Amino acid sequence: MNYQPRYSAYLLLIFLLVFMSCEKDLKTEVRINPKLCFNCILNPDSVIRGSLSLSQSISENNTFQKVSDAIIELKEDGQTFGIMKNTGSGVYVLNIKPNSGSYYEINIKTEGFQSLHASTIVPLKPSVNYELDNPILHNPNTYSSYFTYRITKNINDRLGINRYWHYRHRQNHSKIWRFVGVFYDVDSPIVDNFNRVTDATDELGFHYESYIRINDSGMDGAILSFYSTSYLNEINFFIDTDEHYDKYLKSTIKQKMNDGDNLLFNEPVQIYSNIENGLGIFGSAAITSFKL
Amino acid sequence: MRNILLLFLLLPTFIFAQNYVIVSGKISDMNSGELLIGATIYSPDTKLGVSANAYGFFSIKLPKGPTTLQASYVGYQTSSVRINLKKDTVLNISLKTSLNLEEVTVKGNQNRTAHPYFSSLNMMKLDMVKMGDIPVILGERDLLKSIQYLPGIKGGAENTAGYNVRGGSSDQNLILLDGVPVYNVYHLMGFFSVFNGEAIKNAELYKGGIPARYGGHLSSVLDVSMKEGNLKKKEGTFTISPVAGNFTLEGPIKKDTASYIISVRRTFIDGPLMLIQKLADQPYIGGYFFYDINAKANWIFNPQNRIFLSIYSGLDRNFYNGNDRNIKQSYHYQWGNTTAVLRLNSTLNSKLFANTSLYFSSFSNTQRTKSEEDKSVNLFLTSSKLNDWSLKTDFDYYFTSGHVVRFGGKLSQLSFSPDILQQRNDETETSFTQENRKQAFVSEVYLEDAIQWRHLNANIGLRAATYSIEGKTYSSAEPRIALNWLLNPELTISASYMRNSQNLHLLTNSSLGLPTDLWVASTKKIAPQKADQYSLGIEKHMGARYTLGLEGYYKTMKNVTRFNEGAAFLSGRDRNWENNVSVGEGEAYGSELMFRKENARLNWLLAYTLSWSNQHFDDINRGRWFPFKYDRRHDFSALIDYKLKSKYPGERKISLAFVFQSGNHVTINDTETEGVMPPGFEYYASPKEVEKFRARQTYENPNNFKMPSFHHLDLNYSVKKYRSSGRGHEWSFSGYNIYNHLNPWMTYKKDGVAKQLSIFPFIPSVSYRYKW
Repeated sequence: MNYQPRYSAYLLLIFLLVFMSCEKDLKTEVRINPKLCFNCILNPDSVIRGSLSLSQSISENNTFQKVSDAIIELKEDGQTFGIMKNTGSGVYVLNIKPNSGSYYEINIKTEGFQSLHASTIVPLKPSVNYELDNPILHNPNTYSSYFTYRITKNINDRLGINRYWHYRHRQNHSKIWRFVGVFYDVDSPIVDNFNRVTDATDELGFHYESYIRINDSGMDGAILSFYSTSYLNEINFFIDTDEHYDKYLKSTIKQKMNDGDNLLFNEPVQIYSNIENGLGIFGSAAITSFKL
Repeated sequence: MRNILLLFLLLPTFIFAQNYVIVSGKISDMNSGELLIGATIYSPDTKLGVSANAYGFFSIKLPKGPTTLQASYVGYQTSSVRINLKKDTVLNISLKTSLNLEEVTVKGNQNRTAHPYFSSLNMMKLDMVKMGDIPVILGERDLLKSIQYLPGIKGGAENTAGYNVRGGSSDQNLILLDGVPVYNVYHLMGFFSVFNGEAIKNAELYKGGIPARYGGHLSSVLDVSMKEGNLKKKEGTFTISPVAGNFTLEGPIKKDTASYIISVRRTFIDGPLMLIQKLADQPYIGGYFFYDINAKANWIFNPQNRIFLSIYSGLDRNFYNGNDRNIKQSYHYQWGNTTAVLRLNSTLNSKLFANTSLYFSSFSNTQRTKSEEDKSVNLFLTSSKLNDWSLKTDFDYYFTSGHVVRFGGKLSQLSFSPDILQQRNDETETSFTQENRKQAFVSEVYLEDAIQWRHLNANIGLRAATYSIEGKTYSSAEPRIALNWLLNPELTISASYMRNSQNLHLLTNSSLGLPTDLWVASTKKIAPQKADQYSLGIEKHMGARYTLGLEGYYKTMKNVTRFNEGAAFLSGRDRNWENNVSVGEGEAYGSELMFRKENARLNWLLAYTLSWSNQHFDDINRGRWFPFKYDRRHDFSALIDYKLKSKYPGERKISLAFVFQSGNHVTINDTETEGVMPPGFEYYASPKEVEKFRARQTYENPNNFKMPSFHHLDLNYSVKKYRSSGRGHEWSFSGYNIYNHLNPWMTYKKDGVAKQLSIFPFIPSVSYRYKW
């Protein structure tokens, strides 16, 4: 009996040691060197607008420091196109619309940082048409009855490499336009599967997250067709992107999906950047849309 | 005239043939009849010697007349035979176990572990007896954890059996069990390997100048041989540790003619766990277990021919079953390997030995969820499977005592079914990913020439292979060279070159050896991996006990694969794995230092590795190079054992193991930048989404974050008592991580914050072994 307390103390010690295994926050005291981050997507339908700021460590959790003293020169096909003007808060504007098919380069100089450089070729607007089948009535004779259409969407691909992105807006019950974030209704070999999610509960066994991405690999110049189900008053958007914006969007969607998965083991996603000596994106996109 | 010329040409051969004879035979253990792999036979009169091959066979050419032959092997008493050689002679030698290592006499400068063709840093023979003295966690001896103390070999996550050799990934190690590749060598999240120490006789590890008889993986070969079974008498062992029990039985089927061994290991944590759940009246009862069964039988049906059948089967199973509100549900996740090999050893003549094998190796994992309500059944099944059927033949031809030519070939059929999904309910039965199934055919031939010429020992070989899949054929020619130049009896300079190719790719997110790891085949799109490795080293033997070695290496790898960013097979992403991987290249270089003392009361192995390993993929990190996950700059390990008492029939020994490694790399978002709202989201996104897209988190390069250094000190105290009959018992008391340093085991993200999980504090354990 005299040994009981000491024996208990040993047991306690062993238990303490065993259960000291623990989870703790990983110290990410990474002192990163802030880099210039320039974001600008050229669109032949709009004037040129970009933002310049400094990157920060994820542990800082501050608002981004805007950079307003830079000289940003834009060149079109090797010739000076204009100098973007600082309109405050790190936003730079050039009140000219870019031209489809032209090659643009950007040069950014600011004190204390290496010059940034990037380039893009602005694509042409996608040529798109569609065909509707007869409408299908759902929930007939009820208050919630509605029509859907089986729709064939055709992209008349131009020669050369093209990268198309498709998304749609739809009105909800309150008649408010919403981004349709999931494609449950597309099953076509021309669709890129990078954002395809296998889910046995889906009608097709899978769906696409946020967008449909189509490239014309192996079908250059052909008509790229796929079916989906549409509603009246739906707006369909088709974007032709340059290679950089395409990669940027892909990495963005992959990261969004990663965050949603919340899995222990998945490869983190590096957000694509084509800015030499910096971060961000200098890309271009041309958009076509139609409303049903 | 022509006949006279022919006579002159043949005369030297005739005279030569008349003056020499061939002595061939097998070297085995006197008590059990087990063949002794790599045992040496040496003639002091002629200073000629050879090593027995993987089946204990040797052949040596000696001058006619009286001579002495000495047979020796580590842990055995040297046996000397005085023989008058008049004609070709068959000599089978049995060696007696040395009960005390001090009894082993090592003559002259002959170092017992030095290999004639390979440096000690390129080829290592693992001592299975000593492996039992290495401190281990939870008392479970583990071959794959033990080799992680060797230079140039880096462990993966703490206490996992996965290892990386000279900058290569863990899938680049060929692991053979009785000549059969084992594809997933892990149990329980990689904490234990499938190798049951009680069933293993011998293990050899190659990491440079790999002989041409081995092929199929880039970085290393671990060739593990199972015991054959005692030909003389029946014996058994029983071991128990805090996690598993092991029972081994072996003995003659017919004395000196046929024998068997069967060894079973199983964890027993599921029993108490299920009982607790039952007592707590839980609606669902779950558990986990793993087991291994090793079985082998052999039959000597004449002095020239012996047949072996060896089987391994191992399985991990995680399960729960229950009934809640009239819904009966069951779930299991199981994975495991099965290997079987039928082998024929033939001594075709005194110079030619043949080994022919037909084998099967399979790795599969299955996840099954079943729910039943009334008469309605829902079943969801995901599975992956790799089957390998092969037929191979190897020949050893002994020209002279210092010249052996090995040649052979292999034909294989591989079938891959990665990540197959099936769903069945009352209405439908659907398979989603049948297109992933693939079949491949491999044919390989090799020629290997091991020659000793004056002070130069060389093992030169060529392996040629073709690999066909989906109508495409890849071919490869793989030259291998290992040179040992003996500057003097104590000092050796070694150099090696090897080219390897690998048709398999392992897709893994964790490098932990999880069952979700997928073995996939090279395809039309993804070519086989290739590697070239050069090494140069120097080795000094100081007497028979000390060895000091230094070796540098440089390795390039092509067509290595890596998961694309965002890819994860536990998610429901695109299930076509080819769309989820990037193909790139790798580069690794470094130097290894080893200082070893052996065959004494106090023994040690000190190993230090300084290394770099980087990778490059066109579509990752803007095509820039970045460090490999296990690019650990410094790696130091020490194994020390001291015999406290060594007097028959008992032995008390204390062993110490220490490891220090630079932290491995993980990818963590470290940078935040302003982001661009994706099109469509700009007007309709929720405030949370707007915030998410406003700031984009990214990183400078993959594997950008270096984890804290990893180190632990372990101790083991063992007490052994064995009689001369072999009967006895052994206690082992181990302490893992004596100073309780919490090493990071893994990192993961939770609620956007990177977390570190440490799961191995100080862990004491005790294990017991009884042999009869």
